[in-house]
Amino acid sequence: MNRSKIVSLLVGAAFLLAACGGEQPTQAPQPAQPAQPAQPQEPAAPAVKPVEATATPVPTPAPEAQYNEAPQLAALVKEGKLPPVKERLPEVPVVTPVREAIGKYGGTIRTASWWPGVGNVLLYISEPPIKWKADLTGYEPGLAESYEWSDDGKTFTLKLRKGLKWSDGQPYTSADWKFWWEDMVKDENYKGSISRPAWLRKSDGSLIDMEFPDDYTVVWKSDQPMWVNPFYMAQGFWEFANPMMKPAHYLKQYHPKYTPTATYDDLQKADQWWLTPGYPCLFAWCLTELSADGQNYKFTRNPYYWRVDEKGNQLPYIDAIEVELVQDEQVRILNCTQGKYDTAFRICGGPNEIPLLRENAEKGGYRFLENYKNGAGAWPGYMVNQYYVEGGKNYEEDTPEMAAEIRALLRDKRFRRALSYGLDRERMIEVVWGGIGEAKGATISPQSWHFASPEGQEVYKRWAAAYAEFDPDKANALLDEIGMKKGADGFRTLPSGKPFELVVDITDWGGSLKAQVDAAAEAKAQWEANLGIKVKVNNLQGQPEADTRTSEGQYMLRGAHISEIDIWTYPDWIFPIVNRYMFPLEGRWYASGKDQCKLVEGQPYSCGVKPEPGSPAAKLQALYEKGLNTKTIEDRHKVVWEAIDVIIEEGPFVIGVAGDQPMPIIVKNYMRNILDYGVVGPWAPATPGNQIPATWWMDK
Amino acid sequence: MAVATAPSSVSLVKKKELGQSYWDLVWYRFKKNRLGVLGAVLLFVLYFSFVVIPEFLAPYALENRSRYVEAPPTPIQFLDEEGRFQAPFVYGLERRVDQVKRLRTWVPDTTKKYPVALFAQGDEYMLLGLIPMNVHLFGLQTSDKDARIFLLGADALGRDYLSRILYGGRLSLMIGLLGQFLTLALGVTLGVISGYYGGPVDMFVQRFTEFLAAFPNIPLFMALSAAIPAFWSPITVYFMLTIILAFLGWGGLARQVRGLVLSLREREYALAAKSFGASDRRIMFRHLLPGTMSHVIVIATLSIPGMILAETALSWLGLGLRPPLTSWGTLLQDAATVRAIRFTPWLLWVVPPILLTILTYNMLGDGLRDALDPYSGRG
Repeated sequence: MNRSKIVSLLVGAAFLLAACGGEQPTQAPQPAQPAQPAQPQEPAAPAVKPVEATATPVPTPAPEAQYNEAPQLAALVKEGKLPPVKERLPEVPVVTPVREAIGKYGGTIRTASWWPGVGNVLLYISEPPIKWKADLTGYEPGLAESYEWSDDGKTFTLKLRKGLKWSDGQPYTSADWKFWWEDMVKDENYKGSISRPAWLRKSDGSLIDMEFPDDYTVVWKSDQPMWVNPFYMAQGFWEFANPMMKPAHYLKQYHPKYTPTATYDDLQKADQWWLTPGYPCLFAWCLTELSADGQNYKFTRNPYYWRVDEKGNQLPYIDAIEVELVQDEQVRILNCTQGKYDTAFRICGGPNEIPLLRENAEKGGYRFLENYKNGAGAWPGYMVNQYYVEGGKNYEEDTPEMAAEIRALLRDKRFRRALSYGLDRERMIEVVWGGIGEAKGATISPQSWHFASPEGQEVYKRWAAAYAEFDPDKANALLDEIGMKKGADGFRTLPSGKPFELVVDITDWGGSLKAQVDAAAEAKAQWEANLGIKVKVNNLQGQPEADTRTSEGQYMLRGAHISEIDIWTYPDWIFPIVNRYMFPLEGRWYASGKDQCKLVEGQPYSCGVKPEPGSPAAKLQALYEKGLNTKTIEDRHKVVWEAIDVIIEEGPFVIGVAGDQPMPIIVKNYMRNILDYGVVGPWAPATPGNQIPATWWMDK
Repeated sequence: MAVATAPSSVSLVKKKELGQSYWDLVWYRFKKNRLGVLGAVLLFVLYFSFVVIPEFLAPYALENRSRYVEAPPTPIQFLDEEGRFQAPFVYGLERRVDQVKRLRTWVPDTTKKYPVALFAQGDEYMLLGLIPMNVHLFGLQTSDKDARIFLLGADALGRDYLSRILYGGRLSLMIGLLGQFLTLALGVTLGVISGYYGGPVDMFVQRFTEFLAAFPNIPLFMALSAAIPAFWSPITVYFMLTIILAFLGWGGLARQVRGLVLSLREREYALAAKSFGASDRRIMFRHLLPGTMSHVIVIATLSIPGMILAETALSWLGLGLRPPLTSWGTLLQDAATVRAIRFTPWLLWVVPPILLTILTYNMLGDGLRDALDPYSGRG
């Protein structure tokens, strides 16, 4: 079979990846991804250069030498309760370079979560078959040994590591994949923790074919190129660990097909690795204890973990991770200042907490990881709905005719540009971010790999600068041109002369309600004073309609937090292909099968709206399809740049204010081997999961 | 069969001796209760300041934003740098940014001094919504547009916090009143009817109050606040919600009034009225209702602060009023973070007015309870 590329994990994987630059993306409609996380993220700071990147694993074939293991495990081996370490490791253990020094075994990480189910911790202990590199420059093999595509991209082959085992000692093979695919995904009766996302479907919407030629090979076959599809797994937590990590030997005892007494409900209940102590896992730590009230989680080292350091010590160094659930952010912040947590990723609040955490660092015995950024391309940024329809009760006269007028206004790029020119971003930063930050237009994450090359940097700078200067005169000239005259109350009316009020929805998007409230109050005051546009702030925190107003196209502007590292696996902020963000209805049309969708009686927008030919949404959807059919990563970056040109030309679609704030990520002084660089806003790389926490250790 | 008795000669004599009506006695008794009087006076002052003339008392308009974001209070100075006595003034503020701590602070700029004056001219406003004015109780006398006096500091948009507390009081003090009034009217009327008629009427009213009492308020509040059109202003929304809550909340009062009426209707004067052929309505509302008033007034004075606290609490939870409205509850929301307590502790200045209001209502209520029952043994 012809394989265009082989990414092997043996020596040189990194070189290959870098040199050929290419893997291959594919096309796939977007799968639903978890909704905006409620909590994370952070603030603004001068752009700091990412410093170090870790090298990709440079496995050297295992020295015949000796492998070492944690003392507790050694004791178990002695007692005969555990096979020797050599037998527990895969045939070729993955040699993982450490950042600072070879570590010592021992210690328990205490940390916290606001997220029932402690997703923010699962996020970084999950290790997918294909993972993001620590420096975010691309992907590399993780759990899998290698992967490759056929020349046409329609066949994708994943090679598993020989001898790799689940945490209970059973081998991890393609049989587990087969069980997952044949007995869970393709079993329509099963509704549990799996997904049947668009990236595992063919062009007609049916599931792709999956073959399992031997114990260590999984082959995906589709009728369209899958250059991008496998990279979805790199979001290791909700794209891989939850829906794909299925231990066949364990789950078969709950599957009706194998155990006649079991029911699908049993299976569904058992199939929750994040809630089930003893569920076999593949990661450095697996869940072993969960308190009855669900408030305390303990993850203990996996004796069969497959990575070793350069000296042959089996990882992880740390014995266990203890997580407590603390939903009140202020309580977590206090705990952080008191040094209660050994590592604190995404739990100590946002950028505005930095001064408080700084002054307590010495007392609390912790240090800052200085180069952690939010990765926000806009925080806050105001999405402008590109297909406004009636139903949101924004006006007493909430008719399709009125909605059409407002829609025309929101789709008029002069209006959006006027809003952008009418904002004094410096003052916004003063109000929202303590006066520290960089004023910019809305983009995706500055750290995105699409911008890594010099050309990419150019594109990024152009995008960030577009319409971002404060120029009320220009703004007012644009509004006059549209025909928005001032009414009796001094505020501009619609071109038809009807009174106009711009409604700005806000929630705690980005993790800070206060930031959004203050920003909206300031934006309201500025738009009213600078442009004469009457603004109403609609605080929807905790209200069910916060999201339906967006998905049904009933909002006008909405305060958002935008960050994305890879636009092919999380396309929403550029490509309108799902029912979300700036093009909710046009995206819905794309996601629901375009013209094949059947309208629900009485719901005129249940199939979305087909973009008019030549409209921004139509152009961006076409570019998305072009990208999915583009073979190399480099060429796909170019498609992203093309899309950005469309956005600059037709935009802005998001009125950005500031971005890329620094985040307060703190660790105790004795923590070692933790990379001082990361981007916590975008979920794709599961930061710090991309830097292999198994190499962390405690120097005490 | 009850026998109507003639007015007792004893009470006639007593009345003559004292020469006082019931309300005279109440007033006499109330005056003697110093705490009660103090409460009444303070309450009047509070309502007058926060509801009637906050625009005059506040040095700035509510939405007067300045560049001094989160500036600390600027104390009024009487001594200059060399210790000489001067007419009162405040120093200007200078912005400092600590790039390492990432902290912005404001320090006094002693090169700039702005004299403070009483009855200074400032932002325009309409007194009582009618009289255009621009005189404020105090302010700075300066042509420098950037100059500000922040007796209690500034908030995240650079607005004067003292002014915000003053304006916020209007909403907080007023919002519960109408709802409370409705509660009282419904509770008293239905309570009297239920107690007087008894039987099936009583049964029906009582079961109905139980039905209403079974509604959980906070989930109801959440559901309602979601069901209300977005073009309503947040204040209308909240107002409607309090009214709805009032319709749900009269049950307790109705029960207490019913209990009182059950005993009052057997008193001689009630029986007398009945034997004279007075209508039911007259008996209920002329004869029985006044007998419950002392109780009702106390309930009212004690539950209005409950409404104020409820506003504060619900707003603080994000369910009641929301920014951009300014009320004490929304102000409290801003102060409820570790960061605020450490870096902007002046945001806690909203607490004293809340405490004071609750305290004065309770003082007044206590005084009224004693006074309204002038024949009781005490004093």
